[in-house]
Amino acid sequence: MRRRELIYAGLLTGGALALPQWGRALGHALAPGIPHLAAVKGGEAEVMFDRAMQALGGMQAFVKKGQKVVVKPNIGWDAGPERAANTNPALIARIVKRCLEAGAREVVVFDNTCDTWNLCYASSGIEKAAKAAGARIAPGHLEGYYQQVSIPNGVKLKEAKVHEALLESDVFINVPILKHHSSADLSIAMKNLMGVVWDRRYWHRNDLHQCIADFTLWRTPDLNVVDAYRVMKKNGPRGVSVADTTIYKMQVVSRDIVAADAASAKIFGSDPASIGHIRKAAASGVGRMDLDKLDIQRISL
Amino acid sequence: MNGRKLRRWRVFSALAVLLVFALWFLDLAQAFPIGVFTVLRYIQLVPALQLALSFSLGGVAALLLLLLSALVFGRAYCSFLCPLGLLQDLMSRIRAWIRPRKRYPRQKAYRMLRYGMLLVFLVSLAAGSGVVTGLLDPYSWFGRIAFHLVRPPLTLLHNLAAWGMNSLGSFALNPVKFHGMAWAASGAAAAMLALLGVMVWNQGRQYCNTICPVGTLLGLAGCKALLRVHFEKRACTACGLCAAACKAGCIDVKHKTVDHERCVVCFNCLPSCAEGGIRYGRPQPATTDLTRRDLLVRAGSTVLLPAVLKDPGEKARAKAVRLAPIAPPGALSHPHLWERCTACHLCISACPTGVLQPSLLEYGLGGLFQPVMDPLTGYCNYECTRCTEVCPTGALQPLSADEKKQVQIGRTRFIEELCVVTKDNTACGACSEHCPTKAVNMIPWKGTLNIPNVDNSICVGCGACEYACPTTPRSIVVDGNPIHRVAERPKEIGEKAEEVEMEEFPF
Repeated sequence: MRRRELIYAGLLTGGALALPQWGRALGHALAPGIPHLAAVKGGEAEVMFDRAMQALGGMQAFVKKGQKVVVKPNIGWDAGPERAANTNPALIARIVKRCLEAGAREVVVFDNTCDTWNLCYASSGIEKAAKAAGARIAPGHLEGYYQQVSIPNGVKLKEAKVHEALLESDVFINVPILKHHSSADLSIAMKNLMGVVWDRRYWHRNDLHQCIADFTLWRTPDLNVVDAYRVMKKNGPRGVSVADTTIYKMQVVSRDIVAADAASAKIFGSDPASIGHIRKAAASGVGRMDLDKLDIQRISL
Repeated sequence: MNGRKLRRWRVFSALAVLLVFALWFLDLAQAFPIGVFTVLRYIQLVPALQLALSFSLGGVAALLLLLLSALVFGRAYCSFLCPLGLLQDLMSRIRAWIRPRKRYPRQKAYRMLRYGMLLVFLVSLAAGSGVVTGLLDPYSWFGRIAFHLVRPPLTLLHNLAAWGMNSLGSFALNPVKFHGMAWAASGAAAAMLALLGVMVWNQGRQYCNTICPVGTLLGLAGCKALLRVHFEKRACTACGLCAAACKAGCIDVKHKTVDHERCVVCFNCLPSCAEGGIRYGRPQPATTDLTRRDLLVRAGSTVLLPAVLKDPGEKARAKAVRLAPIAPPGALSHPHLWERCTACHLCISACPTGVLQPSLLEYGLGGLFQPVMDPLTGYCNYECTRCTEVCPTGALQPLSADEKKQVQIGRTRFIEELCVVTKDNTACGACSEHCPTKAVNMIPWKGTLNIPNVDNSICVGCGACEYACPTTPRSIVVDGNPIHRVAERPKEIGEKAEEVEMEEFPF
């Protein structure tokens, strides 16, 4: 192969690989009247989700027929739904259902938990609810599930081992629960991505906020659904008892992970700029935290 | 019932029992309900004995029942219920496949050795050395062999199968986490298995009739059993086939006697005899062949010595432990664990997090192989009580979830100069994240940074903070409580959530 051919081939392959991304970005830019972020309050979690998706163009705008979808809740702890340490199971079930209705070939739900995985999957209620809705529950407790990816632009985090389910997926839906967090101040959408990698200790050792922000340079979710129905206001991220939680009945949905985090931080009562990883991610250009300049659809039920 | 049927029935029931014991220790997915484990403590002599010594009514009843069974049936326990005996029978079967015509020789009685081992066993019980008891207990050896020699390769096979199925698109099996080989305990189990192999190959149930104190004890209880293997002297032609089939080598064809102290009631001799010269049942009265010396030794070993000997070093040992290891919840104290635990490792195989590991010298030699919490491999799940529920000897006392949440097995020490926050001036709070009671809490430090702060009054010593800590060595360490304490309940806990309705969106 001559050098010119090699360059052409390279350009063609690169272009082809980037095509879906371009298509997605173009589609988003051209869609008329689709807000940057939808925020809902006053309903049950699954009802609020449906309303938000209505505003964002429906699930079919995100999931195409035959695609593989990963739904990533927070299932970090061996605690029941009332403790708000894990994402609301009913919300996860509804998202799975909508993905399958939109024609998804497979919906995989997993998390690299903190407490022992099978205990978390069971007591969170997510395993049961997601299975009933038709998802496949994947474990994440062994290093063998994770494969190395590189993050060339990362400041502190240059590589990470990512769960194979995510690497094999076409669509990535991130469903964190809004929580107080003893290390990262708040645990929202960006922080929830720590559950798709293997070695979290590395992040803790090497400027946690920077690593959280760096990881978004590798891949951002196609959709972020922040569960702020029941919010852990203190003693996070594990919580000690139900007394740590406050019922807000809210939800924030956006393609923009930084905007989702910024809006959720406001619900919590924090200034987004005071949260290290939100500030750093916004500065890197992954998303926007200037909420007052964004097109936000606010829905009260 | 004729001899052939008796034997077949014994083989069938033994296989079933062996399977159940194997499943107990090889429940990789930890799917069995706890209830199935509690049966164990009532059908194994040493666990029942340990329970009875701590005045457990169930333990006393089980012990009496097991001794009563020996009075009625002889040492049937050894061929029906003892998992290590059944394991040896399995080895005998393999021996028969390799060398079908190899006979079992007649064995010496080794009375002094057997009574000596029983004496050591009783002394260790009285002195409260669970380790020595456990090194003589056949059930505990079975546990260690199953857990350390069978479980690891089984885990490998299981995981290979699971990965294979996953790659073919089936997700019915999930691979399980392997928490590493405990080499010392595995080596000990392998040595024991090799010893058993040699003994079985040469002499059949030689282990049971030389070293095993449970066998000797039941033999003493059952030597005049109501039902026993005996000669029908008129029918016997002294051909010697029964003796050649006897794994215990306890049949004396010349004098047409069976040594019931050593007969393990396996019924192998019965079908070997075509003449009906050897039977199992109520024999004709016979004269005793015990000498006066035998009787004295027996009396001494069963009654006198344990009463005379008391443990002198219990408290001294507790004091001698400086950097205290963490004993699992329900252990009450290190001395209690030393005394009661026979290191069968059932708790370790039931632990869902891998925090329980066999100790080496953490407790000193007196606690060899007893379970110890290792926060580097896992941490004690706040809601879990499995180890306390499966323990068959009462070394770990059963705890309800609520009780367990206030048992303080250790206390936490924060080493500020090693912490990420002070060393690198970056945020970390992995310890506090994992703390179930918020005994490790983050308090304001420089600028926007927070730093861990420990309140040991509500710490349970679960080791979650130490496990999660990202530094090497850890900046937060749990020291075991040699005597477990009661932790206070965490502050501000409750079952009600506040409700807030926002009038406007805050953005």
